[in-house]
Amino acid sequence: MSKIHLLPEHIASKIAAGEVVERPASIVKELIENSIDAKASHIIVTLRSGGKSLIEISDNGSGIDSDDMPLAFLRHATSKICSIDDLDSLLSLGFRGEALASIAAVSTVSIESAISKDIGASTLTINHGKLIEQGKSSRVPGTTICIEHLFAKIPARKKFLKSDRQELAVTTRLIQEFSLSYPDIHFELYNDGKKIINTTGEKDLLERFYDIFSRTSYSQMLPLKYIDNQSQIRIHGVISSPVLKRATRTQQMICINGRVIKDFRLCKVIEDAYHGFLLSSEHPIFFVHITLPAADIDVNVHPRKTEIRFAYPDQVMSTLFHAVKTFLAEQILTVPVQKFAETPSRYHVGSPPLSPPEQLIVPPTSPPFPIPSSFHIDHLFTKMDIPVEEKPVKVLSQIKNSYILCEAETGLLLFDQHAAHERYIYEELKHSVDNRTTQPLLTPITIQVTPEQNVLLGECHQLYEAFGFILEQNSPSTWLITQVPVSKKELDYENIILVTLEYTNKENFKQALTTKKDDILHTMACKAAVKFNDHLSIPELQNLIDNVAYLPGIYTCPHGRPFRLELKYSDLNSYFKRT
Amino acid sequence: MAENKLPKKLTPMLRQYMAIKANYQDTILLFRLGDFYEMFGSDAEISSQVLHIALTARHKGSENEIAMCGFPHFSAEQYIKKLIKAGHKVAICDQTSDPSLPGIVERQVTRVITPGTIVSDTEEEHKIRLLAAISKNNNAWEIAFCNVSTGEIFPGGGTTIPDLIDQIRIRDPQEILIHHDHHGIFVPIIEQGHIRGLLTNVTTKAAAQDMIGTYIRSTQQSTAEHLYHSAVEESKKITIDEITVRNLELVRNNHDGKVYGSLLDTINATITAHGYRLLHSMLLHPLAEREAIQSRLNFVEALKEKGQLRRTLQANLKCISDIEKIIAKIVLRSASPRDLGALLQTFHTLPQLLEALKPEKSAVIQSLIPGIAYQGAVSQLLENAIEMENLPQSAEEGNWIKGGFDKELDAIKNTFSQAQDWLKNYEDEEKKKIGTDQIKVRFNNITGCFLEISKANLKNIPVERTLHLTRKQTLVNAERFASSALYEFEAEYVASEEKSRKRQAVIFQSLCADILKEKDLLQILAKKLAELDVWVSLAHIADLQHYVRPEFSSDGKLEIEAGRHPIIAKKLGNSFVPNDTKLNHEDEQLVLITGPNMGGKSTYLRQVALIEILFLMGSFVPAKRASLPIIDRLFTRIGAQDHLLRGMSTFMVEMTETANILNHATKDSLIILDEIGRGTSTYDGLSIAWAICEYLIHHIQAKTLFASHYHELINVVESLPKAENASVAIAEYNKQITFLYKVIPGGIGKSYGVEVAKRAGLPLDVLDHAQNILASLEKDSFHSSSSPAPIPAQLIVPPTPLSPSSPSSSPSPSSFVLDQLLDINIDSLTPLDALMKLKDMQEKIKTEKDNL
Repeated sequence: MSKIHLLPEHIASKIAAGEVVERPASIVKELIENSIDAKASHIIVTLRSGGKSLIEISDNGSGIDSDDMPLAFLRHATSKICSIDDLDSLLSLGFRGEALASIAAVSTVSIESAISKDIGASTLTINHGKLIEQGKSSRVPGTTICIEHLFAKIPARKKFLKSDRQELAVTTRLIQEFSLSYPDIHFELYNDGKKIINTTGEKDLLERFYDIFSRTSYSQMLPLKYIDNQSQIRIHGVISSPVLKRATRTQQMICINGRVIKDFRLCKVIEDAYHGFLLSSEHPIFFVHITLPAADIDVNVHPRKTEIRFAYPDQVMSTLFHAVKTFLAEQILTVPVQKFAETPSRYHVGSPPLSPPEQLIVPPTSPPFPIPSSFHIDHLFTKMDIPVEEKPVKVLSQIKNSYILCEAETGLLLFDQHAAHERYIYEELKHSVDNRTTQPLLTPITIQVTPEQNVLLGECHQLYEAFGFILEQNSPSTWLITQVPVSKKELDYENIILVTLEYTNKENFKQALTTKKDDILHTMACKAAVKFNDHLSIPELQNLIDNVAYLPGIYTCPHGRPFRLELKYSDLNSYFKRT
Repeated sequence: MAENKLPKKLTPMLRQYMAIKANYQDTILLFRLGDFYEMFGSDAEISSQVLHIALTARHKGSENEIAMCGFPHFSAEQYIKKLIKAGHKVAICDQTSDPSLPGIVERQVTRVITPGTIVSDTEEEHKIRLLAAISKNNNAWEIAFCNVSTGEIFPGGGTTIPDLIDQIRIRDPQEILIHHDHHGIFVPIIEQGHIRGLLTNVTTKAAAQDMIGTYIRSTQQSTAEHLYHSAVEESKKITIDEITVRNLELVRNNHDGKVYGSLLDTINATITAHGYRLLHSMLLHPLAEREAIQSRLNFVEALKEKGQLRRTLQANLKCISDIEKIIAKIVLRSASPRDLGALLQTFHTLPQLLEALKPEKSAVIQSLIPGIAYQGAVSQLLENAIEMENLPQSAEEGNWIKGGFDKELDAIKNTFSQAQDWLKNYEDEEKKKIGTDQIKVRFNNITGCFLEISKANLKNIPVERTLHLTRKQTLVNAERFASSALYEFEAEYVASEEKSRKRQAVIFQSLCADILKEKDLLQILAKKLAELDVWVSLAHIADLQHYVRPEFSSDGKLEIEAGRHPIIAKKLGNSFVPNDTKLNHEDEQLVLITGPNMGGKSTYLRQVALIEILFLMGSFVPAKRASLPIIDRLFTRIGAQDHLLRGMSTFMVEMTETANILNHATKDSLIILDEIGRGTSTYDGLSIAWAICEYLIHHIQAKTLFASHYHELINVVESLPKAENASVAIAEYNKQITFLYKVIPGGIGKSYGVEVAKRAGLPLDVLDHAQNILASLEKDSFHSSSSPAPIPAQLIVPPTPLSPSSPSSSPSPSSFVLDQLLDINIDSLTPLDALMKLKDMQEKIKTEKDNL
């Protein structure tokens, strides 16, 4: 009367597969790790339908002996470790012995492999766990594995897969991570016959980074190198200089001993090292390799090996923090302070806080205004009815690179430069959007996008037309802006588009674009506007004030923050007891 | 024109047409009538078909009816291109006098466009268009080629007609000029040879290169000053004959003649048109000097590791225009402001290229900088003159000249803006005069200048106030008036516009003239940019395809480790099995490769040839390591074709090509032979192949790769010290054969023909029967297949030089006599005849005996 029994092998495999084989990208990950462990120097990944109908990985590694081939597909069979102690000194990426078995349990797998001392290759085909064919063929020493009919027998899981484009985006991202982790390996990626990635030969990490990512980052990425002899932690990678910022953390990657992992703590540590250079909503770009002794980490945490436990986590984090912080400090001292040109440039440059902010001289006769207790800011604020200023407002000075002090007809005005500018841009955009005025650009603006952004744009680019933008795809990594909403000033359109993408990098992007138009406009305006700590000259300030001072009935930025504060002369007079 | 198509009475226009047409019988004449180019008569019929435009008739229904069709002049270029593509010549007859004058307007042919001389804006991807000319100098023939869109004229080699045809086959010119005296000789050759170029007769008898110059000058009515003779290359080149170019698919593939799938296509990563042309030419003329090859390899190496630099250079090279073509267009008077804009864009890009190159430490890369550091004045001139946005197609239109460049033009343009003000003022004045605000003064191209009042308002205006106006046009809701002031204005405006157009045309001409002054500098710049492009392209391919730098070998050795066929390996990736090759003059001078068909023999042979060519042109090669010799010539005999239309069977073609090799090869040549002796009976073929083998080893002593299906040769090779056997490996597994594509030492006696036939899908019955026959044949050892029977010693000819008048060089008289005997018809032979014949035969045999 036994109710408990051992699960037959093929069912156990299927269950295990559930942990490891979630989508085409997970298969590609396992197989590439195998290729890397086999010391391949050239890995070619070919996909069809984003990997949903075919995945083929071909490498020139050491290959699998024909005798070993059937064993490879058994669970818990691996060439990479022999005893549990080996886990402590793990040098290879794979070790669980599960990948091939899991993959073979849920698809049709063909493998062709040759080892260098033999002539000719062996082939093997397994269909959902059952061996169906064995044979001989010929190829360069190495292995080719081909996977088809993924999840053919598990329709529920098959349905769960995303669209071709999205699966491709995830896989592309994965290969980008691998190619940065192993700059000396030549990676190729093709989908439906089209080339997506084909890395060039330089072995340098920085060069590889430029090869993979957009060229606008060129010369704004810095190579980082740090060795801590005591703990034997070596850090090297590429990090962005503070002039380059992103609104999300998508372009941050950490790689430990050659394995790309997701570790929020480490990312946060690096961001902390940027403190002072970036606002809290801005994030740097980096790809950092950390190598430490194999004994100090434990990879056997999660079946998909995306998490790692450290033996001495504090040590790792503090070393990392120190490395990045000192590196940045050195870099900044050698980077010249960028001045504003007469017309604001397309990319705003934050002035590094290490050098004293340039201030215009406040007239020596005016001491800072203490706010006497009888003046309450909100009292001043709510009781005012803001008249439309017909008379001119004269800019006196910029304070702390953030506020603008002006002299107006009825009192002194203080403006929050960011909020004010934001409001102005918002009004302009809104006007343009409401009236559907757009202007074609003489030369289209090119935007570099990541694969995920490419997917999003592919699906949602028409929705931008409601804002007056017309976008066209130029290549899998670049899009063109051919029309923009009408505005008096040239806005940073590229950044506006990129920012909206990052802002709503979610499933409800489409919804957001259609129902939350206003929010989008707010964001666009916010990002395009002049920031705190942006130094501006008097003419620029005057220009800004001229535009915002006369907006009737409006005194907050689109987000609701007030941008204007008035200190009436009448109030001044009564304070100084002059009335 | 057919006589019956002529209309009875000719109008003056048609008379003019006929007079002009008489000089252009074999050309399609485009006759400018107003805004259209028209064709008449048979020209019209031809064009209507080729261009798919409607065929109508002039003076339809009357006595003067004549077929006609045409197209508007602004879309002329595309139609002309279609006509050229269909193989016609096109003469353009424009109006050369002012049409407003009385009498028929004068017309003249301003240029003749032919397939060899057309310089078009949008050439299909990288097509190289050539004009050839053949002439006879004393007793030697000569041929020259010209690329009209770049201006380069270069001689082809050779002095005999077959040489010339060879050259024509390699170069594939669109048009060939010959003197009409020689017309008769060449027409049949061209037809039989399926040569595509259009044959044109000329009347000049001169050296081939001069013929070209004269022809271009006369057809294009131009000085053709952009023509130049290509610089005599300092370094030696090796010759590659047409057969090799074709067999190895160097620049064209073998099934449809397009570039796709050729070696050129595989290694082409050039961005500019000049780069492409240079690469094409480098492939057809590999070098023969160590220094020159070394220098090229250095450039490729310097750029191979620098992916980022290459990306930057490539991005900038995209903005480089085809400088040579622009110069040609200027000379041939078909340039437009857009071309000048493209030239300016090129100048803008040069500093970026320099900036990318400057920080590089490598001396080799630094040496590229002087060539592209252009110092001419044209750049500044164009910068000052041209407004880059919205450049028009025609110089007269648009506002493409910058303000401040030409005072006269500025003044004229000024009047335009003043015109707007004047109109406004006039409008205000009239408003006051007439007494109402509801007046509009406007100006458009169709009606000119007018004053518009709506009908409703007109009613309210007292008539006296409008007396100074004359009605010009009536619309549904309004009336338009003119006035003397407006007429004057209109006239002035139109005159100004005319002045502006003329002025712009003049400025354009002067800019062109200034550019031409620097044409030599610009042509040099183009060449340097082409070189840069080619190095970047070769380095890019070497990087992505994992090519290595070849070494120079000594003593003529050829060693390749893990070599790959560049075209096929690119396609197959990791499925392509690499192979080693070793050839030298000690013990591996000739390698015989046996094995089944489809086993990879041909691919292997070709890959060695292609790797050698890549080496000689200064490129990296697809291998793990390569040590290669500089050869004097590459010979190939590959493929099995017949040329029935040329009257040659497969065997004949084979023998002709082999004869060419045996007669010209030297010790320093490299010879690739893929099957000799197919296409004739087994014993004949075997004997010939055998004899050739020995001749190559003992007399010519060139490095040879010989693929053959004759297993008997395996033993022959075994016994010769300088030759080696090799074969393509097969695996037999589960009664199936798998090709391993690996070349291993030792010969294979089996052909596996039946197995291969099985793969091809021959019916099983046929295969079974074949198997049985094979088994019994093998038993009889009539045709030994598993191990070749030992060759009797006396059949192996010792190395003696063949005497020139050896009896084996002609069919022996004794067999001749036998044939004669058999041919005699005894029944109709008279006794005297019989005796005579007997004497004849006796004599023949006697002489033969004497000669032995």
